[in-house]
Amino acid sequence: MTDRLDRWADPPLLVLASLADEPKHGYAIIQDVAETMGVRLSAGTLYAVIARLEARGLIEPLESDDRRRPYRITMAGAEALARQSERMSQVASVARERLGTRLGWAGA
Amino acid sequence: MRPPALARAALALYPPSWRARYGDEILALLEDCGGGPAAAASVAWRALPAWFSPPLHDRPARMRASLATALMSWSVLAGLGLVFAQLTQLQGLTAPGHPELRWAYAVFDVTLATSALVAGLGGLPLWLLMLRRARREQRPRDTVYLLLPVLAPRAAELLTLWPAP
Repeated sequence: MTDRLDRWADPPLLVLASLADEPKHGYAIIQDVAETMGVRLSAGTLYAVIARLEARGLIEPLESDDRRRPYRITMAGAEALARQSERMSQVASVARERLGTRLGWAGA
Repeated sequence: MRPPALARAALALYPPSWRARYGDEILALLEDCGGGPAAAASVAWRALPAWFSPPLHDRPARMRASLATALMSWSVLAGLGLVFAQLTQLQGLTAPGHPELRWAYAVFDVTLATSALVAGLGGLPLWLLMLRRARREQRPRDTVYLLLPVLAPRAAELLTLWPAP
């Protein structure tokens, strides 16, 4: 059950969140997601997500002489991330409030 | 650091357009990560969906993906149908008192033959185009692959004519 609950960590969302502050290349995204969000993305998953996000215009590649091409979030990607973050924030808020009532959870 | 052969082999499973667009980046990432069987497996695991959704900007790749999807779907369905027919109709299994089953088999046979004809006729111009191009560009391996549908049945016929020892 815990594993199923971990599905909130949707890889496209993690990648968008990682790119929200500055452009990054693949390895930097993997490191950032692991350090700040505690999720380890595999190389295959990362590039499947990058291809999907790029096709939907949510991220875009930057010019690079190196093979490590950086990506940046687009305006559409930032808006999509903001909408999803708002929804998650609402869910988190409700969950904290109700857990506080039910269990006297200190995090409420 | 050079990525392991396993990782490069996994990358070879992707469609050419996908490799052209992301191949170098993935190899660079695997070099940074250190590669390993797990990394190669993760790359290989994502190869199949990549065939069905190539990069949007590559129109020929999308056309190839559409054709490959249609052909694979048709082949799987036709193959399953033939297996089903082999297991039932050709074994003489007919439920007594249900003549509509025979009609159902007749409909299946006609549909299979028609779809095979449509697939063959529809693919013929493309096949000829690819064959001509492979010969013009002197790619013998591609030429042999493209001639397989013609050569394989002839080879099978010759084998059946071969005198038994």
